[in-house]
Amino acid sequence: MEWEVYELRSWEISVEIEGGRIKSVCESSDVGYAARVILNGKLGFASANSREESLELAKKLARVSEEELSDFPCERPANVSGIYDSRIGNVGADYLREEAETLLSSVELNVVAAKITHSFSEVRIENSFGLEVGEKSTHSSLVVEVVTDGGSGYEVEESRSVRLDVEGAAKRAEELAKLSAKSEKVEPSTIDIILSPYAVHQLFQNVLYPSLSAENVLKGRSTLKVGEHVGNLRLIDDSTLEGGLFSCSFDDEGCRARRKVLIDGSVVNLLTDWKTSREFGVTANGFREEITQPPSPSPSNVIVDVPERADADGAIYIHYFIGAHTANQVSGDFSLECHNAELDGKAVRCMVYGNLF
Amino acid sequence: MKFYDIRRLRSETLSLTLENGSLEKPRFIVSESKAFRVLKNGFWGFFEGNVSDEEGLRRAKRLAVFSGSSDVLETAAKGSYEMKVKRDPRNVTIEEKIELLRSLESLLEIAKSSRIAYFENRRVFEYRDSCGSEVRYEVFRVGVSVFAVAKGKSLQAYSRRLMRAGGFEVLDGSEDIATDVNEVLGKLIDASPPPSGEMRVILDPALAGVFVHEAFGHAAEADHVLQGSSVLKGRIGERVGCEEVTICDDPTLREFGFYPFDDEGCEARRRYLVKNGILLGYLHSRETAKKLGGEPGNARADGTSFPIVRMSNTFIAPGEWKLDELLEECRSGVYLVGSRGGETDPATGYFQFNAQYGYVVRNGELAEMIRDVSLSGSTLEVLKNIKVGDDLSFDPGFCGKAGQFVPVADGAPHVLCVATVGGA
Repeated sequence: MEWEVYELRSWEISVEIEGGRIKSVCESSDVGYAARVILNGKLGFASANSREESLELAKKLARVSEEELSDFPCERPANVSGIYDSRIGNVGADYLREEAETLLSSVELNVVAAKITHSFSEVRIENSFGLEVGEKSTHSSLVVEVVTDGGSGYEVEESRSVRLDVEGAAKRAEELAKLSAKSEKVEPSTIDIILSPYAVHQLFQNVLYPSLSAENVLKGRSTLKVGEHVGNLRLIDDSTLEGGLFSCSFDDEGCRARRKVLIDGSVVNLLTDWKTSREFGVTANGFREEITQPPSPSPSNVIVDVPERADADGAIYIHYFIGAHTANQVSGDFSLECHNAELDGKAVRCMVYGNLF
Repeated sequence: MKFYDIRRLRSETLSLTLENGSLEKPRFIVSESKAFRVLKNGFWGFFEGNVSDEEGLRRAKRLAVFSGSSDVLETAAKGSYEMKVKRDPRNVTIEEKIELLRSLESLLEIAKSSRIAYFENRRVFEYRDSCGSEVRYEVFRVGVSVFAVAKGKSLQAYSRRLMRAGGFEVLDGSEDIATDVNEVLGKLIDASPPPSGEMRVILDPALAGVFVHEAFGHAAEADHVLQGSSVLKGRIGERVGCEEVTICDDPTLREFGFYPFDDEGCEARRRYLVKNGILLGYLHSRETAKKLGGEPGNARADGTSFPIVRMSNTFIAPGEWKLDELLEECRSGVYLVGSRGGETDPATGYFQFNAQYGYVVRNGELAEMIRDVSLSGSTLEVLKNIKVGDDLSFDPGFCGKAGQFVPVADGAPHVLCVATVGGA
């Protein structure tokens, strides 16, 4: 029998604002285990509150599983910096109050909802092939929604540092709310659109990245394959970026973090986890959505580089999409309502549709 | 200290997935967790972690250090509930569950790729609070989902799911959804893109259910009303839809959103949100019920997170129109089926969601199939002029709000309305 145990210790503290007032301070502390067991070449998975129970349950499922895997990785981690801020130890209720008060005093409009979160996590992975790795990291985030008569604005801020630009995010949300209150509907037409980095991420995350997953390609759920021409675009996945939101020294299976080109005009590499790396090479993109999920190929920090510079005149600038998860992951078709969009400096309401590929 | 409560949750989940015919990523997930809330000086302190009750309350109290305007309706409930099921899923062998997945897979003749998933969950919940409430329940949920991909003129995916509160018997008749996936997908791969613009639209029960959930239900959540981000704010007693519209939320129905007590220990009850077009009330937690006047019972949590106002089984009550009468009334437009998700801005009432597929309606009859259709519009405009069918059915799903996911069911009969249709 071969085995792997993934242990996650996490701690999180957050403050919530509702209807313009600080409403609550929440703290949570957890230790969880996820085990994978290989019996006769077949893989089982379980997560539980104890190491022993997770191993026991995983063994039970390995007996009926048909998923093949022969081993687990054993690599030395990369040296990645800027993902742990030791000041997390000073974050408590008073620190959060200061941030919440800064947020509220930065804007004139009604902050209907906001949440500031600071978290710490420590991952340890051990397996029967001799792997023993561990890493501490911190993550801070802020979401804020500001509402005015007939309009609303939404903004997000994230960092590995415990210092967030609270004032800047709140002011941006307020500007978007003021702008959207005066929005007008756009008549149906074919028009250039410019997506904010966030909107690019919303669309790519729901359509392009799943299509670059080696697992989806192998299972016939992607229209892309290695060598396929995509367009004048360079896409890099880099889990080693200093301070990157998805940076790590090793992925959730213990593979050393790497930088890799995914698209350079055509598809160069697919995102792989340990299992699919046999066929497509190791990219160390075996990540777990949460501790209750086994690892599968998904992106880390993605850098999008388009060499051509477009002309912004006469194009609609889109800050956010509503319902980006409804885009068709397989065919690439999307039809989405825009949240906070502008055309020639005026706010507009519109729905855009097209095909990403 | 004004109020405290303690929750303890044990959740056991088994998930089995047949990926292109092979049993992959089988998962057991067992979790035990506790959560503690303390309300002091109008401010909430909340701690989540596996510690003793005394320690948990002490840590929650330590966070309740500011003052605020929060308050709760202090009602007490005592009771316990154990779901009676015909077949306890724990007593069904894994082999039998896998066999069921294989039999469903054999029906997908058209599929180039498929994923058939089984899941079962047992939730054991215990609650007590400073009002004297003591509640315990045990509920099972079981379901399958069938997803397939095929290629014709275009590569298309289609999926259906059958999930309900109950035992293994919930899956009786699951062959029907696999058969439907095979038949629809066979036509969808050669379907055309839809027409676009404002037009008459017939929504099937699944899509109309998503409409009532996304476009109306979220705006009826009292926390949105209090935050000033609901189009329904200050409109109780007013007309928000035509005479035919009655909308309820009912956690006591044995659909996917079933619960006997909510996560604040309050007994579950049916709520009429709209009766004959008039807005009667909102969905409440203890806090929103205290502030706006109303009855609590709709506060739910993902695991042991902080409970927030949520829907359960939300539906448009059946009207009198037969489907062929709705088609005749529509004359020309589109008939849209199933949902691939959606989103709404409760502050403005604008909604957007995608249908799984549809048909053009020409001369009151179904014509060619269309794919990748999306629907958008303004909730209250749609409800003003809607015709409601007589054939209510529910569709299960997981609803996300503030990063928390809870099981819900959306129900409706066929409805006819006017909305904006778009496509790729």
